[in-house]
Amino acid sequence: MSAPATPAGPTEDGRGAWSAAALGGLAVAEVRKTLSTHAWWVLLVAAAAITLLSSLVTAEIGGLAFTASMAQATTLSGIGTKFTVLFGVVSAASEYRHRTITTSYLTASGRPQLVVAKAAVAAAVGAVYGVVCAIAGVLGVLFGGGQFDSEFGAVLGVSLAAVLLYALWAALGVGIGTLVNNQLAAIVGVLIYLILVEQILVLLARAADLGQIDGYLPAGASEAVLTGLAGEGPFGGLFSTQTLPWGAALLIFAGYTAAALLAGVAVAQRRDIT
Amino acid sequence: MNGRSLNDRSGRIVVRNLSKRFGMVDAVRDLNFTVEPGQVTGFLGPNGAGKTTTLRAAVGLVTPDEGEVTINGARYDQLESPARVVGALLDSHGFHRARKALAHLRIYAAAIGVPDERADEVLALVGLSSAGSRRIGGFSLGMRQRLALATAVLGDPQVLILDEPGSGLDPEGVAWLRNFMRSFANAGRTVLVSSHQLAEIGQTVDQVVIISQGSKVYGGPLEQLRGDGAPRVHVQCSDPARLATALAERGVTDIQATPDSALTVTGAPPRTVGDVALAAGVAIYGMHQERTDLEQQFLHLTAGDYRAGQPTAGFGPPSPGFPSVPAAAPPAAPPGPPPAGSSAAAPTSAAAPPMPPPPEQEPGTRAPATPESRRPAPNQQAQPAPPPAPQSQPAPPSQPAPQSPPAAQAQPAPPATPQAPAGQAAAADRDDSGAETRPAPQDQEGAR
Repeated sequence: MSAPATPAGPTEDGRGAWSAAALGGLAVAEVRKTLSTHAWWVLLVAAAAITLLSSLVTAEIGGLAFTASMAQATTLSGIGTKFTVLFGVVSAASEYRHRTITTSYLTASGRPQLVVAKAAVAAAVGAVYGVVCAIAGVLGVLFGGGQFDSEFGAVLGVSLAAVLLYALWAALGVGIGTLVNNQLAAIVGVLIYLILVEQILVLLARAADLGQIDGYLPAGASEAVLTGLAGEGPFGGLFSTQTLPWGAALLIFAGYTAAALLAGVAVAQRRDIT
Repeated sequence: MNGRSLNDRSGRIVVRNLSKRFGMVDAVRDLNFTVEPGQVTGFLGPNGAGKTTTLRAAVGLVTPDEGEVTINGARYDQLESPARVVGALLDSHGFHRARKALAHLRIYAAAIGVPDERADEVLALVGLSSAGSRRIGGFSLGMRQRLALATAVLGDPQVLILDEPGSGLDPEGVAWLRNFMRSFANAGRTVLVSSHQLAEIGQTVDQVVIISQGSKVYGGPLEQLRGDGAPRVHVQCSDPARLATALAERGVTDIQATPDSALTVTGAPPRTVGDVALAAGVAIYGMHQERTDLEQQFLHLTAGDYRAGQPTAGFGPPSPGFPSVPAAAPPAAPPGPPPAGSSAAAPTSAAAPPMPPPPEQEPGTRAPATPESRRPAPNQQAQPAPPPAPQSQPAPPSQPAPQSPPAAQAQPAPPATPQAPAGQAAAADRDDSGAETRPAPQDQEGAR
């Protein structure tokens, strides 16, 4: 109950603000934050279950039109990404919702460091989402009667790309959740954009003869990576409207992630926590 | 930055020219004070006075518009491992409800870079060991407050900043907190603790900084503030008006009427009052002396922030507007050599604190110091108070005694009234409780 008897000793422990020790400590803290709440596994279970069902149905309906890897790719692109980005959004915005951001900033060596650690940990969790959803996708396609016979390489490529992409999606979510610190607004905004706004933008561009802009928008770029890696099959061209090579699309998407994080850091630096 | 910490390890908090405005509201205006190690410094002010903004600016959560706060000679963001230098309790609600107490502490132990065992230690320190595996959502406010304190001391900081730490604590918890702050300060460390209730921390603090409407109105030892409260004499007499006039002639100017047709005289001992009354031929029915207590001093200094409507109307008999010569009106007593009769005023002047930092409070004057330490009227007007009504409550200066029932106004004006500005007569009228009336708002009104 008594306070320590001597004034605090040296406080410099060789931890620079950006030192590995400081960032590592923040990363451990972020892992503990994640694991001590439910959001990560609730979203993951939902993502895996819906991915399984969706790929099953896609394989069932798509039949011959889709290759098995394409069925997996479209499901991974359409379903799991949304849960993953939501995880990222929640991991950042919930700090404001629960007002833990005060303590998080007080105990961090700096605000950018906190955002970086958060994004890194969210990316790691996102990669786990990627692994789980890739497996769920494969299983769903198998249950739906899909054949992977000659497609092992394509499925592996799609799965690995999904792991990387999901990591980026989660980090993108951290950027957005930091930028828009109202959790509900951030979640709703992200979903509306992904489900509605981006499609409308694509249609408008098409109507205005601006050509195929799909691959240059976030969700489209993500989709282009996955479908670009999937085997096209006899009718694949009908479904894959992407014109970008998957590598370029991946770079574009990584650019969006970086932009969201930089914007998040810039805003976080200025924001008053009252 | 650049790996070189600016930390000078002095344990000193320096608030320098701090100003912060939120939208239309001047939360803090040109605030200056220093908090020394080895002491508990109380940071007092009414709700909305700017305490939280100041403390949050101190730890870099709020970026000042002007000025800065340094701790150990550096801004918070310049400290290398800030949480090991400064521990702050700023928000007793800053918890994720689903998290368990120990898990919460381990998160921040990792962030600060202290071993996990430290989480168990601080949990034991605040008496929550048995609740470590319970979810914070089920905690009472007092338990959260304890957990917040445990979080604040995780990094074994040299400087402790506590924003209203006592709220929600049970009496035992409050006693414990006092003890804790004391021993922390006795160890040579720094404690800055805010409160809107002087009573809550009055027993613990060595120094106080009092702010009102974003500006400092007092800074110095608590004892000095106590000494500041000049004795006040409550007199019941046959002719209050005449006595007041007579006292004013002797240079005793801080006189207030109470609703029960008595006078409250500040700055003169009972003996002087009695002598004056005798000379003036006023019979005295009763007289007693009271010392201003700290709470009243506090209220006096912070008057006018958010005032509830005055309960004057229908509160005792209407007080006649007799010749109150309130403290703020200097003409009655020329500011030169003190008149003989005003010897009683001398202690007040002597006891008035010469502020260490530049004069936000004018030494030697009590009541007038408050308004003068504040900014000019335009700023006052520019600050919309969250509860909007009270600001407009004080009597407009042009109407004498507007809050008195009509009967009072119908009374013939007492002879000395012209001496007192009308708005201040109103102030005297409104001194219903016999407590130190707070002339500050009226003075401000009059200044406009």
